[in-house]
Amino acid sequence: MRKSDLFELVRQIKTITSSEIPIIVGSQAVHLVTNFPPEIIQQSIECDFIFISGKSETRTEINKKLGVFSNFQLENGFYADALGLATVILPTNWQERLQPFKDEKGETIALVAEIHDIAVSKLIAGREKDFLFLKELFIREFIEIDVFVERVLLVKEMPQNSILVARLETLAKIISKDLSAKIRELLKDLK
Amino acid sequence: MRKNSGNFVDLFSLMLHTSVAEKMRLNSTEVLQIARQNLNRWLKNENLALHEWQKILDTKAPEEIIKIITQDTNEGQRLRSSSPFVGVLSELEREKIWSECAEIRPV
Repeated sequence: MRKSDLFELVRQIKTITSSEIPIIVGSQAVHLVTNFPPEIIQQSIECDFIFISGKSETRTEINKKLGVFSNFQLENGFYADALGLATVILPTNWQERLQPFKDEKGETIALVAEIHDIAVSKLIAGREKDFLFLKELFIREFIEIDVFVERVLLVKEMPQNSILVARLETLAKIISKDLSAKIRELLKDLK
Repeated sequence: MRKNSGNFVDLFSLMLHTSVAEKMRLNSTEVLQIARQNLNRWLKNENLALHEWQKILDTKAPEEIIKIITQDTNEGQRLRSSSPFVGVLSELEREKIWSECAEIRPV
């Protein structure tokens, strides 16, 4: 998805729910840290959003009008996934780290989860595509290993901590030696 | 690897594609034509995921495509997320599947 597509999706969301600020929580958040997103981002035709209110009516409206198999997707070739707050696992206090997402005129039109929080969220999701995304984040230096480790430690206190070790072991296998050494140190602390 | 279609959106997408598969069993030519038309329109913007779908439509038999779009795996979910089969189901059919899905899993 191009950044211009993301602008269009956000604008459409705002016509449906003017009182709520959409929060971008998926891999499309990379658009905030670079103007040259990796291919894995450009080839995606969906963007994940959450809403602080957590109202299911908002999600229903957005998914019906802008979601998968909607007329919007038919016309434009991309779509929105409005997710429940419980669906996306982000490190503790992620709300305090939200970043503004600005349009071409510099106006804030949405919020974006901070990129290290997104990285940890992808680590917990743990699908093949999530690890490919994480690898890209490290290769392109969109995230810093020390900050990533700090955020992972925040999950230690969350119910999802039981899957951390397995996920980090997988991650350590696909990133550079220097980075994986840091992950292995973290693993020692977690075990 | 099974995915179990964890959230509403993933399950909804799986159910939509199960209905697309049913239509494809009845009339694969028409369904595949809609998908090809969508890809031709969308591919004005270069996109590898859509090219992947174009290759699938060009090289796989309808039965294989049915298997691909209905598999409850990470790979199935990945491919469904860039599916060209939008427009195969009517708005009414989509709404009906939405209601059925919402009964199984909260939106």
